[in-house]
Amino acid sequence: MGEFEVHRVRFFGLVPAGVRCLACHPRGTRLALARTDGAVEVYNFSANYFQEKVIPGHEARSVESLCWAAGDRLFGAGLGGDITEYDLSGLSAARGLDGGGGPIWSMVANSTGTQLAIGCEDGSVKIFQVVPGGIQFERNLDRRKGRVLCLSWHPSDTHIVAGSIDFFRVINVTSGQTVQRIMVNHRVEKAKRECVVWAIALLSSGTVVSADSFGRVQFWDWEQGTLAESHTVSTSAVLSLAVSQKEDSMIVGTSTGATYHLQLLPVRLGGLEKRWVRTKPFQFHSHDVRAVAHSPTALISGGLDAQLVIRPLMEKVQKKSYDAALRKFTFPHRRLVSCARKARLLLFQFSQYLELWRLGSTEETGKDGEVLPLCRMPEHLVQLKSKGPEHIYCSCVSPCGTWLGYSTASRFQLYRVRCDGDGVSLRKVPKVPKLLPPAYQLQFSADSESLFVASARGSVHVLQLLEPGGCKHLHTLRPPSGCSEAVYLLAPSADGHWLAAVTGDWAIHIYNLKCFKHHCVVPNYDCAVSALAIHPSTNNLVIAYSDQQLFEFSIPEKQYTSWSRAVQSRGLHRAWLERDSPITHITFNPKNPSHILLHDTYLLCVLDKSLPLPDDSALLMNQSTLKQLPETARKRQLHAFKICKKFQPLLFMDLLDKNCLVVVERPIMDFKTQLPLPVQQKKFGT
Amino acid sequence: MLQRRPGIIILTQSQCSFLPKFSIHIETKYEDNKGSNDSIFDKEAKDLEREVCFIDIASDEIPERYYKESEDPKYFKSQKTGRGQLKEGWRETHQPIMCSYKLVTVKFEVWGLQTRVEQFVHKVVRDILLIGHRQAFAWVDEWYDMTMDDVREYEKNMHEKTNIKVCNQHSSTVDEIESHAKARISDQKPLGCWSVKHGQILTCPVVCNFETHEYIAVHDDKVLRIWKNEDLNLDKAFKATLSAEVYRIHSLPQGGPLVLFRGGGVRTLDVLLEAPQQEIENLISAEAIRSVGPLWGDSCSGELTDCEVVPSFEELVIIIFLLTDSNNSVYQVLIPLQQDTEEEEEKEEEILSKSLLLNLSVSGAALKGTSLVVLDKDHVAVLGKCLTIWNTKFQTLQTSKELPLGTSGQLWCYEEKFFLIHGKVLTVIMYKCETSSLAAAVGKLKDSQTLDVSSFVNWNTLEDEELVVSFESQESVALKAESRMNVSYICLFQDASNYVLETELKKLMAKAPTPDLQATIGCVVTALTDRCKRNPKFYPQNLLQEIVETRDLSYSLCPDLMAVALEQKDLQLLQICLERFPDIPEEITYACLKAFLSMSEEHLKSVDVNLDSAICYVDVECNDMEVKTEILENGFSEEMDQDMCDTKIPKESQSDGESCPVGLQKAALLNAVLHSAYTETFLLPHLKNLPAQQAILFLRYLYYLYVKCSEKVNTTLPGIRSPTINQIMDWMCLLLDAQFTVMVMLPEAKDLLSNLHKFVRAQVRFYSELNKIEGSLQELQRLNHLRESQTYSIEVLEII
Repeated sequence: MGEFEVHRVRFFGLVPAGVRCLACHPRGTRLALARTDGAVEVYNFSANYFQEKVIPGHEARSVESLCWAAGDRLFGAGLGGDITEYDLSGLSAARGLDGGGGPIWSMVANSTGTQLAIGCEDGSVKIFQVVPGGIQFERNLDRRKGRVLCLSWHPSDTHIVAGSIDFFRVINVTSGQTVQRIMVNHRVEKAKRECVVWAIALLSSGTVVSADSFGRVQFWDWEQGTLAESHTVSTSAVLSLAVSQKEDSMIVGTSTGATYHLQLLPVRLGGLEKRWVRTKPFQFHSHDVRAVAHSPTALISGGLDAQLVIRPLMEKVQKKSYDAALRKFTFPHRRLVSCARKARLLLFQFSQYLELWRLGSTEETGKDGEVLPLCRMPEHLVQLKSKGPEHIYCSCVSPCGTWLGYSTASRFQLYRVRCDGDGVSLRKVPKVPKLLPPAYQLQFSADSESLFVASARGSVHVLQLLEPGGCKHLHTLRPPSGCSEAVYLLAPSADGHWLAAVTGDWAIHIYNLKCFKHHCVVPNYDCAVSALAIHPSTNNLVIAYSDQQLFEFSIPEKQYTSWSRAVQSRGLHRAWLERDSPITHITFNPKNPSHILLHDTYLLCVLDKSLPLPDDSALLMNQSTLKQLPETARKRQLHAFKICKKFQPLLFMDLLDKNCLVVVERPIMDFKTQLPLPVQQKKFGT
Repeated sequence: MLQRRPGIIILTQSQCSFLPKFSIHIETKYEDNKGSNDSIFDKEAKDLEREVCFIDIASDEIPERYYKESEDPKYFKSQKTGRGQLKEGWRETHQPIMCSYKLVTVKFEVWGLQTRVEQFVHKVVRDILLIGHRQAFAWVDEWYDMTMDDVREYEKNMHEKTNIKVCNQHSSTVDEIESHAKARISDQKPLGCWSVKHGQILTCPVVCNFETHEYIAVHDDKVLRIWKNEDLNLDKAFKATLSAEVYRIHSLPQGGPLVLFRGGGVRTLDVLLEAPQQEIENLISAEAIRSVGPLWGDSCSGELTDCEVVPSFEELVIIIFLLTDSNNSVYQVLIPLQQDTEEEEEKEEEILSKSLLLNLSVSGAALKGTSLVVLDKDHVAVLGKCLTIWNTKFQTLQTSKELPLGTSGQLWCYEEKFFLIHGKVLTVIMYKCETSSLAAAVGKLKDSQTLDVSSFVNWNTLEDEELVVSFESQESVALKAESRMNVSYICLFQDASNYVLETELKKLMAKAPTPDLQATIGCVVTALTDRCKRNPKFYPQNLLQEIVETRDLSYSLCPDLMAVALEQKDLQLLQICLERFPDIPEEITYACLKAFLSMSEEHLKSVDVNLDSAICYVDVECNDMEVKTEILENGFSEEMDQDMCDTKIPKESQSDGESCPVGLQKAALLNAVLHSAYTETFLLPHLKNLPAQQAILFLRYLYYLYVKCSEKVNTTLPGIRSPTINQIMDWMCLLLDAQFTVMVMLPEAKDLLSNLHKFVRAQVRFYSELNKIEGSLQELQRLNHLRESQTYSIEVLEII
C-alpha cells in the first residue's frame, strides 16, 4: 500500500495517577474509580469496560472512598472532610456537604442505598440520609478515640463495624452504642508496632473479616469476641478487602502489589463444614493495591501503579466472551494529545498544564524499518500552566497551529499562538464569550476559523475566531428533543458543513453548520462511542464503538453506507472484536479516500475499504507474513485490515500529510520509573 | 512438699549479698506433716506480708529445660526405701511424709525496681526449690545410707570445688581466658582450671608435657610455672624466673618441651631448668653479636611473629619461624634433639645453620600479627590479613583467601582443616596440599587419584639437594643411591637365589620410608632387571609386583622394568606400572598398547589382571566367564541408540555397538593405557605404526566406551579408575589422526567411521544452532537498547 514516514514521539511524560478506591455498582454494571489526584472515572461493564465518564480531579479534593447509593447516584468522601455527590451527566462534582468530623477516611452505603455512614478522623461514625437532591445528616453513632479507617454495614443494616488502629468495634445502628470492641493485636509480640485495620467487612453470618497492617486476614465472631481464623497472607500490610455478594469469595490487596483470592470452601468434598481458604495469589501490580472490588464475575484491583486489573473468575463466566479475558487498563480511553497538522505541532494535556511541541524533520528517505537521520530536532515550545486548583478537562490546538484552547471545571481559556522565528509567544484571547463551563471537548474546524465547544445538556457552542485575536459566539446547537447528558465527542467535517456530536447517552447528533440546524440522529446502537470522524471527501461519518464495532454512516443520505451494511452482515474478524482497548482516534488519508486510519492503545490500523474483509479463518495481523511473500503472491492474502503493532502503548496517532504519520507512545517502563517507589517491594524468595 | 527421713528438724539460713541492698533469706523447717502447720514461721515473720504457696514436687510444673524423666517423682521408684511413684493425691496417702517449710525473704531496696525484682526473685527461688526438692527425692537412693559425717564431708568437698570455680572465674582476665582455650568452650565442662594471681598475665599458650603430664605456663613473659593435674593452686606450683622473655613453648611428642625466646634463642626445658638464669642470646635484633654463641649462624633483623616446631627425624627438630619487618621471611632451623650430656657443651658451641625457607612477597604491614602453620614438608600456611598457603620448595604462593572481617591472628590446623577466627565466627577451611612436584608446576600431572596415595613420588619430589641432579638423568640418582648403599646389597641382588632375595628385600622394605630408601629400592629394581636381562629365565614376578605395588616407584627410577615386563608378557605388572608410574615415555605406552591389543582373548582369560576399571560396564556375553558382571542401566535401548545415531546401522555393527568389542581383561588393560599420561606429539608417530586391525579394534572399543558414557547424564562410567570422557575423546582423536588414511581404506571401519561422522556432524549442527541463537540474542539486545535510548525518531513504516 505504501510507506509512511513515522514521527515516533516518546516525550509525552504522562504519569497516570494511582488508583485510590473502587466502587462496584450494586447491580454490577458499572465501576466507579477514584484516583489519587481526585479524578473520578466510571467504567461501563456492558460496553467492554469502556471508560465512559471522567470527572477530572481538583487539587483540594481527595477522594478516599466512593459509593453508589439510591440507584445510580455516586458519592465520594475524602480527607477534605466533605461528602460530594457527583453529577454523572454533567461530569462534575455537584454538591458537597461537610461531614463535620474532620477528614473522612471511609464511607459506605447500606444495602438499600438510603443511608451513608462515614468514618471520621475524630473517631466518630455518622449516618447521613440520602434524600432527593442531596444528603441530610441523620445521627451520630457512639464516638470513641482513634480514627475510623474502614466501615462495613451488616447486610441487614442493623450493625456497623468500624475498624481503627489496633482495634475494631461493632456498633448497633438503632441504639447507636458500641456493642463490642475487639483488639486485633492481642497476643502479638510486636505489640509496640501499631496494627492498623485497613479494611473490614461484616458478613451476614455475624463474622467480621478484618485486614490489617500485619498482613493478616482474620475472621472474628463479634458476638463472642473470639478469633475464628487467621490467615497471614502477606509479610506486608493488607490494604484492601472486598467480599462477593454471595459471601463465598473475597479478594484482598497488599502493599507488595500482590492480591489474593480467598474462598469459602467445604473442608471435605461434599461436606457441610466450610472454611475460608486462600486459593489464588496474583501479582498484577508493582505498587500498593489500595483498592479492590468484587463483581459477580470478576476480581477487580487497582494499584498505585495506576493500573486497573479486571481478572474474571473462570468458574463464574459461562461462555467464552469478552468478559472471560484478563483486562488491564493503564491509560485513559480518550485523547490527551491534539495535533496541528499543518504547523506540525503537538499539544499534550497533563492534569494541570499543557505542553506544546514542534516535531522534528528529516530530508532523507529510506526503506521499511530504517531510522532516518534528523535534520531538525523536536522542540519544546511552551508549557502552559492552568491557574487554580482545578484540573484540565480538555484541550485542543487548531490545525494551523495558531490557536490553542483548554477548559477546566469553571473556566474556558483561548490563546493565540505566535511563532516568530525561534520564539513562541502566547496571548490570551480577551473577552471570551461567557459560556456555561466546563467544556468537555474542544474542536477547531479544519480551516481554523471556528471552534466547537462541547457543553452540558447536549449543547455545542460554535465560536467564530477572529483575526488578529478575538472570538465571538455564533450559535449554540442543541438536540431538538433535549438531552440531559453532556457532549463528550465532536467531529467536524473538513468542508465545514457538518458537525457530529456524541452525548453521554451515546446518541450521535449531526448538525448542519451552514444553517445551524439539526440534521439527523444516527440510528441508536446501544454501546458507547469511542471515536468518530467525518470523511473529508465523501462526508461519511465513521463511528467506532467500544465493543469494537465499526460503522459508516452517510450524512447526506442519512443512512448507513453499503460498506457498513456489508461489514455488519458479514461480521468483523473475531480477533478484532476480542481486542483489549477501544479505538480512540480515527483519521483519513485525503489522497486515498478508501483508507481509514484508526488506532487503539496497542495497534495502528489502516482500513482499506476497497479490499475484502477477512473471515475468521484468515490471519488478522498478517503484515509480517505479507512482507515475506513476493509481490505477486501478496494479492490473494490482502485484506482490509492492515495492522501494525510496532508502536505500543499508543496514545495518539494522526496523519500529518499524505505519507507522514505521527505516533505518540508512552512506554510502560518509562512511566513506571517516574512513579514513587513502592513502600514494600516484593523480593525474590520472600 | 518433700519427703525425707522423718523426725529431723533442720533450720538453715541462706543469705546472698552480691549487691549491698539486695538480700535473700531462706529459712527452712521440716515437720512430719503434709503442710498443715500454718503458724510455723509466726515467730520469724510476724510483721511481714506473707504469701503462702504450696510446692508439690510431684505435680507442679517445672521449666521444660530442667525436666528429666529420671527425676520425675511421678515415675521414680526408690530401690532402697521403696518410696516413690507419687501418683495424683499422694499427699493424702503416702507415708512417711515430711513437709519442708521455707520462709523466703527477698529484699531489694532500690527505689522503683523493688516490687518487680522481688517478685521475680520469688518466682526464681520457687523454681529452684521445686527442682531441688524433686532432685532430693529422686536421689534418695544416693543419700539414704549416708551418716551426718558423710554428709558434712561431701559438703566440704563440694564447697571447695565451688570456691575454686567461682574464684577462678572472678580473677581471670581477658587475656587468660584467651590463653586457656579450654575454658572458653561453654558447653563442655573444663576438666581443670587454674589461674594466675590478679595482675599477672599469661603471655603464651600453656602446653602439656606429654612425658611427665605436667603443664607448663609462662606469665609476665619470664616466669615459668610447672604444675600437675593434682595441684589446685597455681601460686604454689613450681616457679622459675628466666632471664629472657619467652615467646612460645612447644611440646614435642618425643622429647621434652622446647622453649623459644623472643630474642630467637631456643632451649629445651631440661637445659633451662638446670640454670634458669642462664643468659639467653638475642639473635633477632640488628645488634646481635655472633660471639655470644648463638644457636644459629648469622643474625637477622626483624620481629619474630610466629614459629612452629616440626618434629622431623629422630634426632632433629626443625623450627620454622616467621620474621617480619624488612624481609618477611620464613626460616627453618634444624636443632639436634637428643643431646648427650657430654656433647652438650660442645654442641652449644656449634653454629647451627639457619636456612631461608621462604620469602613472603607481601608488604610488611600485611603481616603484622600473623601466625604460621606448617602443613607438610613443602607447605606453610600464613595467616595475616588473609590466609595464604605457600610452597616452600618453589617459593610460590599456592593459594590465598581474603578475610575481610579480620582475624584474631591465630590459626590452628587439624586433619586437613584450618580453624581460624574470622570476625566473630570460627571458620573452618578445608585444604589439600598436593604433593609438590615439578610436574604439578608444569601441569603435566596424572590423575589426582593416584597422587593422593603417594607421599613420596619420583625424582622430582625427593630431596631439595637432589632437585638439581634429578634433571640430568636417572643414572645419577641411581649412582648416588648406589654410593650410599652397601655394596653387599647389590652383590646380593646380582646373584642370590630367589628365597634369599625375598627375605633381604623384605628387610629392606620394612624400614621407614625415607627418600634414601626410595633411591635404594630404585637401585634394587634396576639390579633385578639387569639380572633378568642377562638371564632370561630369571624373572621374580611376585617380587617385582610387590615392590611396584607397595613403593611409589617411577619409570625413571627403574627404566628397564617395563621393557623387561613387556618381554616377559607380564600383563599384570604392566597394568600396575601403567596405573602407578607418572612418567612413562610414550614409546613404552605405545608398546604396551600394542602388546595388549595383539594379545589373544584366550590367552588373556588365563591372566589375572585387575578388572576394577572395566567390570562395571563391560557386558560379557561369553558364558565361561568366571566373573559375573553387573548389567547396565535399563534405560538404554536399541531404539534409543538408533535415534541418537539417526541412521540405519547394519545389523552386525549394531551388535558391535551393543556389546563390548574386547574381553573384560583386555578392556581393563586398555583402560590402564588410556589413563597413562602422554604428550600427543610424541605419541602420534608411534601410533602410526599400529597395525590396522588393532587400530580398528581399539577404535571400536573407544567408540563403545563413548556410547556407554553418553548413556548417562553426567557422562561418567561407573567403576574405579574407569576412563573419563575426555580421555576417551582425546584418544579417539589421536587414533584417527594417526590412522585415518588406513581406516578410510578398510571396509570394516566404514560403519564405525560413518557413525563417528554422524556424531560429529550433529555436534557441529548443534554448535552452529547455538551460534545462531547467540547472534539473534545479541541483535535483540542491540535493538532494545536502540529503542530505549531515544525519545524521538523518524522511522519508515511500510504497510502492505
